[in-house]
Amino acid sequence: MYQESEIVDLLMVLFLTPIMVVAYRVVTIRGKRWFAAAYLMTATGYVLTVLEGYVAAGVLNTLEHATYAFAGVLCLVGFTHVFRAARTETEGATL
Amino acid sequence: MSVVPFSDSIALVCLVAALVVLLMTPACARSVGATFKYSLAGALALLVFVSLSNVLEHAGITTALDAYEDYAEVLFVPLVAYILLGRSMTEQLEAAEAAEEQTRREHALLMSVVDTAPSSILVADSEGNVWFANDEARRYVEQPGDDASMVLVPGLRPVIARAVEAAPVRIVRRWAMLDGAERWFSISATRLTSSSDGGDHAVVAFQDVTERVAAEAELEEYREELEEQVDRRTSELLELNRQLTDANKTGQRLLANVSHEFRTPLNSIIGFTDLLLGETSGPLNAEQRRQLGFVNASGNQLLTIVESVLELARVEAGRGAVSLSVTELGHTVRDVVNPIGIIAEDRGITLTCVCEAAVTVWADVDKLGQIVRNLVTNAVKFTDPGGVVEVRLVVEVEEVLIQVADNGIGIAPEDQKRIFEAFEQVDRADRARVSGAGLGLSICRDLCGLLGYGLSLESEPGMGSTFTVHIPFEPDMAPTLVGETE
Repeated sequence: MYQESEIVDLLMVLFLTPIMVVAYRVVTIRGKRWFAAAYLMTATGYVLTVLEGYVAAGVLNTLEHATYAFAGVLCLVGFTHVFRAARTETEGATL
Repeated sequence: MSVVPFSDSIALVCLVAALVVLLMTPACARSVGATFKYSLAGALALLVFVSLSNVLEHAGITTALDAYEDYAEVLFVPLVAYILLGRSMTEQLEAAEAAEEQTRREHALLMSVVDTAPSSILVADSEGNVWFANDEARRYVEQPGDDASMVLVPGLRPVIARAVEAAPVRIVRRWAMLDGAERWFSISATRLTSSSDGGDHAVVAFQDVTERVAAEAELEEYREELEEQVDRRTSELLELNRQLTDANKTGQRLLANVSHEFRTPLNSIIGFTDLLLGETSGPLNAEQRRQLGFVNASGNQLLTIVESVLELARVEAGRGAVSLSVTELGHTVRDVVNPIGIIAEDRGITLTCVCEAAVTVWADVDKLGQIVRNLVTNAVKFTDPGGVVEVRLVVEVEEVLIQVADNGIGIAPEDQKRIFEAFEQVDRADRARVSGAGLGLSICRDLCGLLGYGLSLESEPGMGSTFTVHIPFEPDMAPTLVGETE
């Protein structure tokens, strides 16, 4: 069975993701694709959380946690890119 | 063994590492602003909290955090959406500010350019309202003494109406100015399509060209005056030329007539002196023979001059009819040179004829003979005893050359053109010894002109002279050996 908070999470993902897609196309963050992938992994985890209450609980639960792991890795890569870009910009400004 | 704890551990480690990296990232204007950075750190902290809760739960350490995990998960997505939207709005705002600044700079630049332009530029509507005028244009549209209100020059209104309704206008017009003075203007007007209230505006550029128009009118007057003057002078010159030609013809006719009248008595003088010298009327003493010899020689000399004058008159009058025939040049030249050889020998001059190159050309034998005779006689006449005169026949690709070369006194460069004129001779110390009227080369020049030949001279004072007659081959008359002709 599902919890109320999981349904709220799912609704948040469903309503806010289209808005974020529009904003994503405008912003100019270095390595933004990594962050988009990380977000999608997290959102997928939310969906899987709800689904595991109905079918294949064990498999979907494993997949849910795997998506979180992937999201963590992708976040790390993305922030590494941001770190490098900011450092380059700072060094350029210093020079 | 379940992979869930392993996944949670990876997620936790990576997210903590990502949080550390983010916190170490320097906050700078473009890549990551401080607000953006700490907002992201908050969102990341939520995920770290969720991962930590999962790890602790699955490791069986504690489930105390599980109660708060749901809040963190619910907060995460809106927070990310907020950060993303905030970031995009910030970037768009910055872009708009940059564009505005750029527009302001370009507007300032444009205004500087427009205001410093030597042309008057204004924007007005077809009603005559001036919306913009640069500094130069203000001189014409600003009301004197008024509070900078601008009034369109009346003449501009139809121009603007035409530019608004039809195609761009380019004209030169005379306007009455606001102060009543009339001036000429060169005007370009075109519809201003970007105007905000319906597009009945036009941008007009105009320039005061009163001085230019006045100068052009003056120039036109000068031009007409000059043309009249040139026409008048040309008529005068033509009349003068006609009079000179008539006078020249009269002179030539007179000279020819006089010469002709001289010839008959001269022939009598020469004939009778020949008879006397032949002692048919009785013997002569030595003194009588000497004196009669002078008379005979002078008569012959005068007859030669008279005949030269008559020949020149004939050639210049165009009466020398050309009679062309296939001529073997070597033979013709030898026939002319051989008799002169006797005179040359008497004077102690060696005259040679190198005319082995036998070629046939279309030529007037008599006139060609006279040309060669005059040139060779001249060479013998102006070469000192002991000198050499050589006549050569040279065959080239497109012409045959008859060259008469001597090692005589030569001709100074300044005289080389003059000696081809009638009655002109080179000044020399022993001129008295050399008889002649100075007509030989003039006749050669005229005959060459008549036959279509060229005549050239190469000479240096003291080094001798070489006269060359250039006889071009006719297109269908290739040089041929006499033997081949047969």
